[in-house]
Amino acid sequence: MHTDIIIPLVLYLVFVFAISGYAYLKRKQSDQFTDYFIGNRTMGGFLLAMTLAATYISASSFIGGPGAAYKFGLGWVLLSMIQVPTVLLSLGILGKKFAILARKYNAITLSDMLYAHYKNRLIIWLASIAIVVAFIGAMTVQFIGGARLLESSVGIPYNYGLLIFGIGTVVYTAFGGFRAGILNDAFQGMVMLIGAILLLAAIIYAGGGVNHMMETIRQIDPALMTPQGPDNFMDFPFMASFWILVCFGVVGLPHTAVRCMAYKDSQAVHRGIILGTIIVTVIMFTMHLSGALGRAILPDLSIPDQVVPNLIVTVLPPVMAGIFLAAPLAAIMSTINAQLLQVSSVLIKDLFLSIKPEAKKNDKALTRASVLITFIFGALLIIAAWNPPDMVIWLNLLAFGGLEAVFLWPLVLGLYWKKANACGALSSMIIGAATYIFLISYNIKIFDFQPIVPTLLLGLIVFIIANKFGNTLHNKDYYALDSNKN
Amino acid sequence: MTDKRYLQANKEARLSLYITLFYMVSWILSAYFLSNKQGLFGFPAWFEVSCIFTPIGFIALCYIVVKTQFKNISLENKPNDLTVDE
Repeated sequence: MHTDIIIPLVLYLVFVFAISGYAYLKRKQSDQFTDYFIGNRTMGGFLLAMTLAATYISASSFIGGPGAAYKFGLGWVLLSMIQVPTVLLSLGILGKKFAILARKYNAITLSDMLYAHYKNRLIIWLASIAIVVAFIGAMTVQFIGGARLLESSVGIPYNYGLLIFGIGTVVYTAFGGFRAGILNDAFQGMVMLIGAILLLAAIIYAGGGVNHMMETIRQIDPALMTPQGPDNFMDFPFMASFWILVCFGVVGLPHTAVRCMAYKDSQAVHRGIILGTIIVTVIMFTMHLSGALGRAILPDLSIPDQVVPNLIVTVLPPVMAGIFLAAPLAAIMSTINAQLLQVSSVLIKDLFLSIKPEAKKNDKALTRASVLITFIFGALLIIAAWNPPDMVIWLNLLAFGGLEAVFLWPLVLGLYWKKANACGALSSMIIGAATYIFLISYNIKIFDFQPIVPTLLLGLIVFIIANKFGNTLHNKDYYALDSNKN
Repeated sequence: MTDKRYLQANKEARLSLYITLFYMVSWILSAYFLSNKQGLFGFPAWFEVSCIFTPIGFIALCYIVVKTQFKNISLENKPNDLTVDE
């Protein structure tokens, strides 16, 4: 164990708890339920940018992505740049229309929005199940990533690391709610940004300059310097699939969408687009390039995923290493926070309240129940991550794909296609989920594309065809979802 | 009744999509149609253009479009919305 690295890390975690405590006290004073889940729609541009960036950037950007860049070379850095437009796409496509409608319907969750448009309970049930299942997978990956990071960098045994990291994250999510998540995202986003830039600079310095490192990498394998990578691994269908999966499809991710209904005003979204794009671009570029250049410094790693933790310990002095290890931990914690809150809001708001609407008046009990659910889920996830499989990063993309298969079309078409109705949406969700699960479990690739591509295509076709058989609700039939005061 | 704000919102959504498609085309062209020779910073030329200059260009384009085309509109409920909702 490296105590000189652990001390700054512990100080960092203490600070995160302090933020959580502050948000908890702040929450006491306001409308509890809306505040817990979306912070009363008060986010400004800076916070919006930070929280979106921190939500996208997770274990895969700090561990799996650089690991892949280590293995496949500069081509993987090119692949990571596919994610540059994600902030613009989510904030721009869902955009102000989504924000206006969310206020009109007093919507707190994505399901609220879907219900407001389609007026169909079955859609809500399906959506809720999809979110819970997919997030269990995605969050397990994050927990494993956090524990692995502690294991390979500072030598804390995996299971201890999992307990420390897991309990810490769950506690701060449970008590702080959305507002703590946002405040932490802002702080952790800054840590990630500075950490990533300094790490890349230290790597280039330690490696003796770009020219020298490129020469070393060329001697290892010239294919590492091409967009296609070794063995033509990143061919056209592969790259095209990633354009769908991590760029265009991201619009349909529920934990991203919920941030698109929580900002304050038009100016917040304008600033959010520009700042968020810059942050995502800089972090994606520096982290993936660090992984690719790491090949010149540490050429013989057997597990590519360990490249970033190892580089941090190798190229930085111990105290700095401790602070910068906090950057990937920060990324992972803020992602878990966003997803854990989504799960508890789905269970309470979308499932429990739809069965027992009269419980709505008891705000305190509901908030308490959300805290309880967060704890129970946290415990379940720690148990699930106790004996991890060897390669976990792809599981994250798998879960993302599943969410996109279910949500992308109902969400986007619901917003922009006047004729979209429940029949189309429901068919598209069911066929999308079924196709995706089928293609994944039998490992079928149509024309070498990843399963998400045929799934989304089929989902769209089914939506349009099935839509002809349903009744379209007219604009004037809209009514406020919470049918109450507002 | 169509809310005028939706027209502006739709326009902004379309613009976001167009900028992204434009970025995708530049990404493809610079990554796959440039040489492997050494560039300005020591990386291969295709890499520098597609992974450094194109994203910078994208950010600049976003900035210009957001500043000139995106409008400040109210997101709050208008008074007459409330009467419809009741």
